[in-house]
Amino acid sequence: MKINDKENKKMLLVNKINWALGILLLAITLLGLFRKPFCLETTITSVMLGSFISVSAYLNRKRITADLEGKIIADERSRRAFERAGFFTFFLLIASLMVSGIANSFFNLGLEYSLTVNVILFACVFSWILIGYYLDKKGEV
Amino acid sequence: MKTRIKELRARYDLTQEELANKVGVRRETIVFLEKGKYNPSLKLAYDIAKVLNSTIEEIFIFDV
Repeated sequence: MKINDKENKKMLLVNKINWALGILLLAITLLGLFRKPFCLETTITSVMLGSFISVSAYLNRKRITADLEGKIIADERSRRAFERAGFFTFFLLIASLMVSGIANSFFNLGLEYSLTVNVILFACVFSWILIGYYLDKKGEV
Repeated sequence: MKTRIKELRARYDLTQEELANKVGVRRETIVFLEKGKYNPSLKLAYDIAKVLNSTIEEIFIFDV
């Protein structure tokens, strides 16, 4: 593959846009820290989305450049492992929402879902990466 | 699933790394294929068969 390939140029452009979006979100978070009244939900969401987009843009760029140099970071097995991890994480998300929803309605826990969504999002992204890594190392996918 | 990758690889004096590079996967994938722990895609099976000058049926033996 050559670096001038049209497809690679497009991918690198999308990557730069993602990177810029991530940095923009993190900048919004910084501004939000000094805003009064302080809004915890918006700050947490911006931090998480910003860092998630930035990290994924960085990893994607690393993958594209390695691909251009002829190295292989992600082959069909690791891609399949991460797809399967996404499948497991989706069920984990559904299960955690169901359990928390039922517990909330039965025991009147008064869960604040605007914050819970952030926690669930964080747990899902974290478990997706962990399960993906585990399945990749295990090999049977 | 059993495979004859190891045997054919030895015949052509190829290391796992070399075979992995020729078919465009990581070395770990070849390790799991040789152990019979991973079911490859049709494309990967075809590529391996091509590199090892064999057919897919000769390399991958499915136990029913």
